[in-house]
Amino acid sequence: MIPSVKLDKVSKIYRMDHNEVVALNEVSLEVYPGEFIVLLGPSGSGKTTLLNLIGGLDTPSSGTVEVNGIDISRMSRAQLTEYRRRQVGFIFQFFNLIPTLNARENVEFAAELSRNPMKPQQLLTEVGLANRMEHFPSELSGGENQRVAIARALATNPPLILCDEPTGNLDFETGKRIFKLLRTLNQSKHKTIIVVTHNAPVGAIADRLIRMRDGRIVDLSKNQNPLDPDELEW
Amino acid sequence: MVKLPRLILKLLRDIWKSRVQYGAVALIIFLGVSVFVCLYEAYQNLNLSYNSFYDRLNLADYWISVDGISRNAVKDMNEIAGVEAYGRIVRDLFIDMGNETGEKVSGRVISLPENQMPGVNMLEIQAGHYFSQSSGREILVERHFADYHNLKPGNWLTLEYQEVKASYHIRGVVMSPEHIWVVKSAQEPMTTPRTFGVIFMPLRSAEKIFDMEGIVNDITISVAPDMDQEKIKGQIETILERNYIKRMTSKDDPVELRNRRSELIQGIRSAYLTERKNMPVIRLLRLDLESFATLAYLFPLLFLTMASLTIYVLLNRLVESQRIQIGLMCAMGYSQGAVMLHYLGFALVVGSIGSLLGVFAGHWMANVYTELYVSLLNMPIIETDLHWDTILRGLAAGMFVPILAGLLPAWGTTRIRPAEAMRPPAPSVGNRSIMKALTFLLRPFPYFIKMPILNIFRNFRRSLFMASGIASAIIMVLVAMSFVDAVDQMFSRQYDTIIQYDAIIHLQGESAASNVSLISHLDGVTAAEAVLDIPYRIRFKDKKIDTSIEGIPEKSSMLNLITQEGVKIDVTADGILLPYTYKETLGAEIGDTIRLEPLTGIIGETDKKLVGYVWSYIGGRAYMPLREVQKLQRDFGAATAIMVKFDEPPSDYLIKRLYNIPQVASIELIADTRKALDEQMGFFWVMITIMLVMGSALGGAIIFNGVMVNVTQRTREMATMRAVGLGDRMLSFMISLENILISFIGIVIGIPLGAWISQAFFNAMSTSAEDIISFTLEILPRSYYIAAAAAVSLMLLSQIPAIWQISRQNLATVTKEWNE
Repeated sequence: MIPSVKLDKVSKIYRMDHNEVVALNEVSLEVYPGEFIVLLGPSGSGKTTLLNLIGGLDTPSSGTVEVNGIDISRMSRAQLTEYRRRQVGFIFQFFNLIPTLNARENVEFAAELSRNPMKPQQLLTEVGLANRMEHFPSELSGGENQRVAIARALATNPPLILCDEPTGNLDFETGKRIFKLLRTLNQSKHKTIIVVTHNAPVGAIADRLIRMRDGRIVDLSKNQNPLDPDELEW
Repeated sequence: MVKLPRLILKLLRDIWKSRVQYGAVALIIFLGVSVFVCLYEAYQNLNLSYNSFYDRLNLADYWISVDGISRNAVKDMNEIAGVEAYGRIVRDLFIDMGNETGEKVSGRVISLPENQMPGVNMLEIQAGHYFSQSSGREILVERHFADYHNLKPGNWLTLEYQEVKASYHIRGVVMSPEHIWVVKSAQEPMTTPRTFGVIFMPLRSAEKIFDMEGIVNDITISVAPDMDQEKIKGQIETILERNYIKRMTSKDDPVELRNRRSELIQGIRSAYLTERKNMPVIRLLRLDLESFATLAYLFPLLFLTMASLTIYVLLNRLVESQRIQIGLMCAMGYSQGAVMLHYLGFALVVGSIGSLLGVFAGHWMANVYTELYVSLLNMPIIETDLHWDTILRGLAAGMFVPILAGLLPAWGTTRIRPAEAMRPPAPSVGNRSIMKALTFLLRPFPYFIKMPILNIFRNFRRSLFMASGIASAIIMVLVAMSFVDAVDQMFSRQYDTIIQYDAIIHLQGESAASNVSLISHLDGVTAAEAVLDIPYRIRFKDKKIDTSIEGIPEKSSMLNLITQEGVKIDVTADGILLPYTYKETLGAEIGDTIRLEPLTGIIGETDKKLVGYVWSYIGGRAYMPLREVQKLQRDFGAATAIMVKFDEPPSDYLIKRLYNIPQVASIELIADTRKALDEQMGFFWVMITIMLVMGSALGGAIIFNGVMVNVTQRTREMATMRAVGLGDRMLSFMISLENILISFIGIVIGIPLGAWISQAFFNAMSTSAEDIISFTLEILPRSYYIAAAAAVSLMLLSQIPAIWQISRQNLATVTKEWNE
């Protein structure tokens, strides 16, 4: 199978004053369509940097990032914008919803960018917020906010969903419900999903588990029998 | 229902969320645009109204003054194609006010045709009728004089010429385009209707009084617009020549007196031509209108500069606080251009609201202003129009300035990398070495003192913005106060420092100086000094000014002449003193030799050394010792007036006695003149009040925004302080202390800047009429105190909403949400 995402010897070095911080060190990785991948590692291991590079939010210092055979590391800012608009959906730890727009409007905010968007109402219904569409982020719980963020990530109908600590700000039960939702989307809509977390038990629900430390991939294992998120315990 | 794109919806909701702050910016733009539209449209309306009034009453294009010319010459002038001429008699006399005291004031008689109004300088009859063509003695009284003295058609007025009195029946009260403002002469532009009036009478009556049958001494000429003015002037000169007036001189005439004298010896007479633009009343009106136009640009410039600064800071703060949203938009695929336009949209919306409301309000105010102004002048014509050029300029400025100010912060969004934006920014710590030094210095102080001081330097740019708000309030107040000071100083210098006499008695007839001894011995009179005032042309190189020279006693106790710096200066036999207002026009330095040419007669031409410049603001004349002027006139008994000092306010009996002296023509009491001038300043005080209110609104809006930005940028920090137990009162104290300290920075910036801008205002408002009227900027210490106190008060008031907002914060929410 042809990988939808292919990283080849990707490094990311941040320069601060006279110091250099190596966030990623020659990382190579292939992600296949429809995979559910969990990136595990302690803080500062380079998980978010890796996710940002795949999502076109950042550019590598060296190496290449190919998505569907196209090297996005050489893309201009405008091309990257177009790439993110068509190919990627982001889900963040702090939801990052626009506080002045209600749930429906937040999803529409993304949908307006797409040529064939998903229907915001339908998406919100799918994530279980049919009755909360007109509520503003400040009127929703953390789990509800994250579900709005998921609906928003799906609004442009992207093949790739990148989740940065999506449950980091949620309680256990709510977190489980979010993973359940992500897994369902992965299976029902064949979305490729990469989840960054430092919560080790989450790795059990993934198709593949990638462990990172000090900017390197230290372990890459395939999960023969991924757990149902309902069975998660931590 | 139309569905708004979500990005626009976000924009509108974000604005609504901070509506008070954006409202304050819109208010500043509103004020700037409305002031511009109001003043500039008022300027255009007034121009229209004046011109319309002039057109309707066919104001003359030229005035020709002669000692006397046959009325046939005027007939000949009327034969010239495109020319309408009217010959008249214009003479000064005295008006007996009919009081028990025998009060007399100066009057100017202008003759009119008996049967119908002249074709040039027509009159607007406001009450009563034109002459009835009966044989009775009828006059028309100019409105200003009639209003002041409550004269109505049917009343009688006694006129006195060369000690002969006659009563006249007032047939009507009229307005004249030549007398929209009553100006006696360029030397006495601030004439009050109390002491000077214009009377119109049938030509036949005037001929009799002044013994000028078949002769006129003033010709008013109106020329059709498309005619060759120079050619017509040439034709008029030919007619004058035919009537033995070989030379036509004017304000711009380069011919020197020595030539005129030789012509006079040969029996060649001259006429004096004044163009409409050089008439004192026209020059003063133009000066007034020019000040409208100047203010129309200067004030909004100040407002819009401040508005742009506020928008810049607000948008910077917005972009800073919405870093994550910007990152998110980029992550979602919004292009850089879309994001930049989104943030520029804030400026556009605020600018549009402010300027649209501004042009509406400005247009409405312009009409009200025009009507108020025109009604003060009692002009029968008000022309108000929608001046699209001004409306569009106002709109453009109101929208362009915010967009320009918003460009930089909006452009800043394109530099934000989405990946970086997702991380919270590091809190500002300021310049490390300054902060370290301050921390060391502030060691002995408690935290509630230490923190406000450290906060100022922690984000010095933010503090500077706040200080600029204070500075702008100070600038506005200082500019307004500088006008108050200038007028106060002007009156105080003129009436408290320079004029030491209580009354000036105008004399008529020869050897009038002999009256000094008589008057000074009257009971109730402390002292009296003679004055001789003779019209002169003062020439230095190729520059010249037509004015008068006033001879006053050396070491005069009545006229305390001072230099521009306020130092006393006396007239001396060595030379001549000139008013400071002439310095720029003449360009003469002290020590230079000035040529003096009498404007009437041929004796008295001489050269004098310029020994000093004396302070003057309105009119202004040259000064020499009385004996020297008398010597020039070859008449050691000549005097035109007597300055008198009374023991106490003069009794009616004393005034009556003075009027009974045969050569006394009129008496001007300084206290009355000052009161009348104060009354004429009413409109000026309205302007100043508006300036102060607008200045306060501007300062308040900027400071309010500054405080809100200051507080909202530190919402979490303040909530945390409250969470750890800091009371509302202590927090308010800390915020107030920080703001007061910032106020001091604002005062340090604002005071010198305000003084400088006030000076720039004054310079910008100086005009070609400087030899008539000239303000000197002198900001009094009280104005600095008022400006500083107003700014600090505004600061303390403006922080109330911010403190209120802090005390209402939901601690749990604010301390949790770092991104908003």
